[in-house]
Amino acid sequence: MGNISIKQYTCPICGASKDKYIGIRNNHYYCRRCISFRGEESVEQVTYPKSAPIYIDYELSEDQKKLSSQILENYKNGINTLVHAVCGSGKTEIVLEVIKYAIKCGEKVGFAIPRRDVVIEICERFTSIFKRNSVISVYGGHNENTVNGDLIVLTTHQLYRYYHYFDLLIMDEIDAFPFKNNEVLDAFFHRAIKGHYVLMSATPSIELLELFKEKGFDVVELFSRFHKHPLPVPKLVVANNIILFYKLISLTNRYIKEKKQVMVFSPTIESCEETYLKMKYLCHGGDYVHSKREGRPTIIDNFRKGKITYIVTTAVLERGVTVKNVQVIIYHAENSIYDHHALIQISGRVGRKKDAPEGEVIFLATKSNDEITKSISEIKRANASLQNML
Amino acid sequence: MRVCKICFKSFKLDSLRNIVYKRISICHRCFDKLTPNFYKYKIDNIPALSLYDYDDTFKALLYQFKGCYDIELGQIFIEQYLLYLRFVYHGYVLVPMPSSKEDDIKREFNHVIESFKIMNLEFLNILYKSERYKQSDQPHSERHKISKYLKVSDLKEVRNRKILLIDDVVTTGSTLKSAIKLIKKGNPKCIKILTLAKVNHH
Repeated sequence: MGNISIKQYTCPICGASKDKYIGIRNNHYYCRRCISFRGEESVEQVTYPKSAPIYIDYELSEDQKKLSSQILENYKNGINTLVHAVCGSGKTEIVLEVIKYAIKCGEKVGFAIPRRDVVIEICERFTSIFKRNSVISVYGGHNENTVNGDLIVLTTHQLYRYYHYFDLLIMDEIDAFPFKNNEVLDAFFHRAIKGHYVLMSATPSIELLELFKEKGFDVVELFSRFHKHPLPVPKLVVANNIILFYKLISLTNRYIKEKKQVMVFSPTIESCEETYLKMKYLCHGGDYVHSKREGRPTIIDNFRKGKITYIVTTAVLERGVTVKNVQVIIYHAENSIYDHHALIQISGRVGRKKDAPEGEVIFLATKSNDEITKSISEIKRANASLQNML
Repeated sequence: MRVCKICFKSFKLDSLRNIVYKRISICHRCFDKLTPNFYKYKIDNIPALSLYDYDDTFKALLYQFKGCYDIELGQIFIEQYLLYLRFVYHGYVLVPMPSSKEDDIKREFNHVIESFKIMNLEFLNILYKSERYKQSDQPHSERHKISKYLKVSDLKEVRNRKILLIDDVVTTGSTLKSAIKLIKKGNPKCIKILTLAKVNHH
């Protein structure tokens, strides 16, 4: 076959055209790149105008209100918006108005996020905010009802089910794995949209921002966390493995004593289990979760309720999970799995509640690297711009 | 350089495995995710061999191949052990377990035949189901009922030949048991069983 494309076939769904993605079955071509997504046909459902009152028991900040109406205006005028907002600045709140407007117009609204944990959490939140409307969630293993709802919260993977469907599609964490640089998901995203979209990110790359500005997007920025407290600057501890582990134990025990909950991030599933096995003899009342752990929702729930003092986790809890007064330790922050976006995201777990805005972030590493220094300087920069705004 | 059929990444023929087997179409990284355990056991006193564990990796691959109609994955299960299998089953004819006609037409290929094709042995497609009856839809306790529906079309073909019954996954072995009963009536020289994977009951 060689390198020259002799097949001249482009997948109508994901747009693959390279030879390596194309298979031949019974003398006709088919796309192998997106084949495992396409079990079923795409869906269609008629919606009609409904009122959608918003129930929240707190006031939005001035910035939030301003952006909220700006996004709504953009949507009315048919302009796509990219929201660049730091962690904890209340991104979810600023899209409520536009969702309300779209439901009122009888349009189809979707909210897509990469991870299923976050889908479940956000869906619960939207259910309590839009009490009068039906909010449904769609993710792997939970897809019996994919259309019968006013607001559909779904994982980005599940977008493949919809073709030319959403009038308003909001996508959160666009810089997150697994959406980042994934052509297949990108193709599904564009395929699912009929109307306009709002993209949100805490840490968009400069190229991405430039690209969206070029495409005629309105890029809006929300820098302050909604309680106006700066993001805690991570403390970096560099030491060898033994001392690092000692540090981990002593820090965890100190936080436990101060009645603060701790999240310990570990790079891989194996290291997560291993760290917990070693820790459980020295620090009491903890647990661990990773993507393969059974009963994960219960453990996370227990942690949220404060029944567990510390939790050892992989990147599954990196995004979206909000716990009051939590401290964060990244164990082996030098691991190549963490780029500076991920490190900033994890740091953003801290101080997300109004009545407990302070917290500590500790990076434990055997050596420092570019990603660590970059993440720290970026957080400092964001905090400085926050000071200026105040 | 060739491109892996599973992860689409290029890979080199560097390991001995790849030099011996020139047809290899998946990279070693993807292959390492499978668990080839070579289960040797007996079903009604007939020696059987299953190559892989029926684990999540295998399940996902089989689903993509059989359920999503990805014919290009046909040979990946056998190719690594082709020399060995050709040696052990030299002179046998292959009798695939029947699958539903409707599915085969929709899929445009038969997945059992497709995955054992590279063994270069003759196929005897003589088993069929009298009704549309899916074994995978039945609970384990009901699976012995398959014997009512399993039929053989041309029993004379079997006489004095070495028969190798092939299937993708063996769970309770009910289908194979009824197939053995049917084939034995035709006086074959001997019977053996080869399947891609085996479900383990703990």
